[in-house]
Amino acid sequence: MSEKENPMVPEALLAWVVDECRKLGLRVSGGEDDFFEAGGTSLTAVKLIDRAERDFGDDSLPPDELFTESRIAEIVASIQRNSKRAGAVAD
Amino acid sequence: MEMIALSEAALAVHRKINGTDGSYPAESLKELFERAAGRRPEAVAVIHQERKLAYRELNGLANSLAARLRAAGVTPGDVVGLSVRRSPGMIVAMLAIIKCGATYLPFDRTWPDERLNGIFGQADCAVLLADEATGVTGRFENMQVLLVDLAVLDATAENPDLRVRPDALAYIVFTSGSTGSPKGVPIRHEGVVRLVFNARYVNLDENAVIPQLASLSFDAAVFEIWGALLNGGTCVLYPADFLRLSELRQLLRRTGATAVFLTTALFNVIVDEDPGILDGVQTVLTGGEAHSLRHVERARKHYGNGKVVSVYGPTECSVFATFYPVLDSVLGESALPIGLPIQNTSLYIVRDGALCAAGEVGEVCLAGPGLSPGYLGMQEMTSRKFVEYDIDGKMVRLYHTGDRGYCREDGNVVFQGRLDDQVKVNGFRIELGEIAHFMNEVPHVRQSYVTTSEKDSGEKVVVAFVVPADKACTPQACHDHLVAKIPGYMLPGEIHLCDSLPLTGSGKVDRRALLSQRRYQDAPTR
Repeated sequence: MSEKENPMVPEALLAWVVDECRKLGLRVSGGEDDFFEAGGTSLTAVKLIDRAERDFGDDSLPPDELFTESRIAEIVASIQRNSKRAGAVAD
Repeated sequence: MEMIALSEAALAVHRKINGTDGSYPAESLKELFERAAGRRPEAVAVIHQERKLAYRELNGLANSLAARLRAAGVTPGDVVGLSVRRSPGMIVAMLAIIKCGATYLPFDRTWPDERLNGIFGQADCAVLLADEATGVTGRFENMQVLLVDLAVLDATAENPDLRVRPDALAYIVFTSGSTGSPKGVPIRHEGVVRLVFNARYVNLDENAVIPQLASLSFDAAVFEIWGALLNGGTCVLYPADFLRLSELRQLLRRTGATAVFLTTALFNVIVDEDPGILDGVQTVLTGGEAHSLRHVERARKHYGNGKVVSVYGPTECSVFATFYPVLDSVLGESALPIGLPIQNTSLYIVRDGALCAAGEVGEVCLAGPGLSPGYLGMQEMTSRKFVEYDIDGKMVRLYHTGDRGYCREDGNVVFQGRLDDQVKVNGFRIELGEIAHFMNEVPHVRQSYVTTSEKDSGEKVVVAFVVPADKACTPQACHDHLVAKIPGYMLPGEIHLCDSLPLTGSGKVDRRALLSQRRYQDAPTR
């Protein structure tokens, strides 16, 4: 992720989540899709959480939230809420 | 008694792999744990988040809870159901049951009522030990529920004055059964003791620090807990239900973990995402299903030779039966071998009543003190799977695993698939027949076929094909029926409706043709 695009802008974050889900082999196109209905499992969740923590800081995507609110838009909201590294992410 | 036919070549390779007898104490988990606690009372037995329990404290708390269990009527030989969150209370509860001379039966409270009632009935279990009333108290008829509350226990209580025989039952694990009722596999104390003393596959001593990651209903937890506690080492309880790689990294680093067991699926995730997490660990044990050579080779390149050890073993042979340390490149192999028997375990490759020579494929059979006495209440099944034979003039009781394999010239055993339709999905052992059994019960289902396939992400998934009897048959209706019958890990990830089940030339269901018809819009929720 380049420094220019601030990932905390919802559109950029949405693009990040959709992109990572696709890399994990999920059939996801936008915010309305559901992570688990698109083929996500507890193992893909481990991977997505790890990638989110790497880019947006520890605890940026808590498992409890991912398992209860699993639409892509909800995942975006969760990362926004929980990321403590707002703005300083892309260093 | 049936005699196994032998050839010189077959005997030679089996003699080579089976000289594994070593010494292990002829005592129960109770005596061995109490001995470890007496030897180094101030050593750390259990770590959970910021809390450290010394052996003295853990032993005292367990004694105190055991006294309460005995006061509640638990006597040696009883079976006590165990559902306690991963916490010091879970270890105290396990120890307390063992200290009563009773058998612990871990269960998952998210399993359907009907299945749990069946399991308790099969195991003749009348007492449940839980950490909170939610989802347990009042749910099961005629069941006495006791709650574990460490705050009311006395950490100075004395060891119960009671001896437990090494051939008594330590625990029972239930696995999927193809007829629709799960199979209860009881394991003796000596099965566990033989697993964790003088271990060939990992260093286990008082310096061992072992993370506890597995659910108690998965028998890898037996290794994680007793492997540490019987050797005077430290068991580190993973602090959450759901594993995060960042949290695992911190836990391993902070506690100086020496060995860790990872399911094959989780091992692959770590190798793909962040292999550095395991840099500080001496031994990485991994198993549960067949390994991917690509991941094993990547791991070997990252960690060096000898750190990754693949382990194999059905529940019926007390956790692990064979091990294969990755000492060399595995590129060019056809599969990662399951390896050689661990200490005090024997392995025989048998086909049509004859022992196989190197290179000949047969059924993997196991023997030794790790073997379960047999399935609870299933005599016919037990007599088919656990059979006494005369091998080379000696009486040997063999467990027929249903796994196919062969010995290489160097003795290492290579897995070659199953003789039946048992599968492994995310490390869980599943009889596809059990899912089909319940699917065929759905009122609107005429016929069904259950198999496994891969998702786009490469993960394995249970796929069901259903021929409807009428219009009311929907994937959701099938899913809703199954939810009340089987645990979540057995639920099909996809349910597809089809007009009929295509057959191959030989009259079997044509799996390939069915899989090519998969339409993703049919996939139900989770």
